[in-house]
Amino acid sequence: MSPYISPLFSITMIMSVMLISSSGHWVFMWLGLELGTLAFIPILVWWHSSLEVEATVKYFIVQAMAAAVFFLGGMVSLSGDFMGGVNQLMGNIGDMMIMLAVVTKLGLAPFHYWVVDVVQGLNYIPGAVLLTWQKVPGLAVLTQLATCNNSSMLLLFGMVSALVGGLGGLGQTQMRKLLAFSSISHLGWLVVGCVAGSLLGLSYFTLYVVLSIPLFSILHMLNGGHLNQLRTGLMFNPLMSVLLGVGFLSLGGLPPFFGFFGKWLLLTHFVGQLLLGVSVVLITGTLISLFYYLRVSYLCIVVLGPQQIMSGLNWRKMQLSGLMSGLLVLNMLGLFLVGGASCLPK
Amino acid sequence: MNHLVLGYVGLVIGVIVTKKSMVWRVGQVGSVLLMLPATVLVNMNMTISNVSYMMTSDFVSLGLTVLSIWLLPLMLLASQQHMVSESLIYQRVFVGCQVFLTGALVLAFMASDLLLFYIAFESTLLPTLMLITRWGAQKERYQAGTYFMFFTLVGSLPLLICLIGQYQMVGSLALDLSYEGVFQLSYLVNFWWVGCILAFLVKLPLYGVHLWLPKAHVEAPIAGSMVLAGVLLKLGGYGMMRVSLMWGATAMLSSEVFLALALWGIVVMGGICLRQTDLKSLIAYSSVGHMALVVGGVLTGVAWGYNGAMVLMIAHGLVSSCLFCLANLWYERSSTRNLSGSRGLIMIFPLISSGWFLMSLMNMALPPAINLFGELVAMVALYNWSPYSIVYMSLGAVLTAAYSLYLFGMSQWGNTMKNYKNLYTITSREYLLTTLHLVPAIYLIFYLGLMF
Repeated sequence: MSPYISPLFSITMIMSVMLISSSGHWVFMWLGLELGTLAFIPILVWWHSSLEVEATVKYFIVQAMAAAVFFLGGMVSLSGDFMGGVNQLMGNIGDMMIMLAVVTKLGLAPFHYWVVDVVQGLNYIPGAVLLTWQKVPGLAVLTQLATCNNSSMLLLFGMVSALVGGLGGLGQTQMRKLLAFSSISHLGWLVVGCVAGSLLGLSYFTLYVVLSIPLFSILHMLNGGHLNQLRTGLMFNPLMSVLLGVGFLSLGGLPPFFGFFGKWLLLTHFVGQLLLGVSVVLITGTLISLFYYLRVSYLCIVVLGPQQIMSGLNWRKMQLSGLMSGLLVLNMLGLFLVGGASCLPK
Repeated sequence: MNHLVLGYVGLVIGVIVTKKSMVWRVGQVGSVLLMLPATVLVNMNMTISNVSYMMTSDFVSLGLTVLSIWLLPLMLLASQQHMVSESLIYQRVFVGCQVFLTGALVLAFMASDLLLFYIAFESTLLPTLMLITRWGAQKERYQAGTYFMFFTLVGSLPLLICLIGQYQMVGSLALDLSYEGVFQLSYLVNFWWVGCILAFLVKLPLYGVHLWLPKAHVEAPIAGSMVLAGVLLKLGGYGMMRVSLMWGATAMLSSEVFLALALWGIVVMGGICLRQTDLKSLIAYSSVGHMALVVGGVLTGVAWGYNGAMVLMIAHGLVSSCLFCLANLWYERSSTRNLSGSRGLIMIFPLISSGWFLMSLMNMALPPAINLFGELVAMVALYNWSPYSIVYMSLGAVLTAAYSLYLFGMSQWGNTMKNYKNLYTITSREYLLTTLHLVPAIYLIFYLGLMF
């Protein structure tokens, strides 16, 4: 595919989000979601490998089905306007269908099965876009829906998602699957944050992007899929390897690092709104997921691999851009920067 | 006292950037120099002093802060030998880890806000984990590191929720306020109290949640063992004192379960120690037994209990750290910690045997050691809580004396094994190390007022 075409797709993806967030009617939201999906699909098959094509087809089927349910839900809700007595009921059913469709599109917990398989088939960069930017259209719809009376259902999905993200990643040895489960777990926090207040969800989402993009791009440059391949890093490129390991711990939300800041922020609001049970479940999910983050960082920070090994990772050739290393340093020192900023005179 | 923490940050940077031959010297000299600002701490106010932004020190934090500052150069001294074969970058990271760890500990002990305390408490996890899992000897160190992390994290996440909840209800997490009246009405207060102290009970550790500690000690290098036994366990005792001072007597009702576990732990740990065959493992289990008395002292909620627990923590910090050093000193020469393989050391290293002697006696709380003072005071508080507890405490004291004697007798007396060929002599560095543990332990006998 000609590289000159790619701006068309990426701009369309951005425009779709703007369309959704600036519209108050479900038809335009549906339109935005469909546009975003369609513009993303050519990017998914950029390298034309058979795995990618398979993943793309899976992605397309799920998204198209969810969009159909979305449209149906909109029609049901619309039909409620023309019937006298059952208006409220039909409206509720319609809202519920729309919500379930959006949740499927996002890959929240009971509907998360496609995420792992699709991400496993993709390259890291399209995978990163899928797990970060492609959440934005769905979340923009959810924040508008969460004000309705179905927010308790969203809370439930969020909790299940945090737990599933933690439990699912425990046995994984594939980097991409691990990152997918990590993303599911974070999505749980994110959705509960969106219910508690849309700005909270936005802050947490920004934090997740800042934390995960450097990890995705390092893994892309390393071009390795299996967890065991990481253990050569400490010998070939110790600094980068340590930064990668610490970045994973930060993504897991271990306190001295930046990732803890998002959890702290959200927890403060959850406890303030008396969502105690929800916070306990979310924290439990995070704790479980910390087990696999810790395993990755063992490989990056602690384990010394054998001297002669054909790992196939390009640790030595790796160059970091200033932006990426800045983000990684932010991961390590972020909480102290926040503390330092709070020391400044107001 | 922000400048003290900034000093440790500067020392980490100094260790990372200094030239090759200076890494250890910068670490050691810098950490000794950082004792100078710490001398400001030792002014004998019973009240709050040295207030600065988010940090302060008072009579609860003073002793433990000085202890952690004191132990840093000793840790560096102790681990110099086994690090010479490592490459330069690892030596830098190793020293940097320890300095960072001590800075986090000082921050934890001097934080005037509970959430800052929580963050510093958790910041100590990663450097300790790296010490255990990167520089440990066997491959079981990964399991030990995972145990260490997850016991602490599972314990401390309820603490986070409880702290945030308290902040939402009261509007402040300042240490020096009492929140007794605020919570009195709610039946939730017992859950809240348990959530608050669970992290500290795991960290101390209480009998029943202590499984991570012997594993971590056995796998850790000497610096890790020293800082674990010396200061990290004391974070738990310190946090419990803080939280219970804030909450007053309101929440003490639910702590009887923990008191019972602690009393039982004293006896059981004494029994377990008598059956150990590994030097480090024995000392680690004896820490659990001693810390059980600290739990008992604090949870009785009376002034004698707090004082006894504080003295006991400082005494135990010096004594167990020195015992680990002595064990490691033998381990570096013989590559074994097995008790049946290390006998008759008094014939090989006669002078260092006096160190073993004094430290074993202090460990069993023989008069006039400060351990005895701490144990007696804590026992009085426990007796006041329930007279029946004297059964467990006296049994525990007998068992403590028994395993200390067992440790000393097995390692020092008897026939020397013939199969050790390359036992080089004790260096002056190692004599200095032992002396620097002994001096404060003996000095404090004459100046008990320094601790409470």
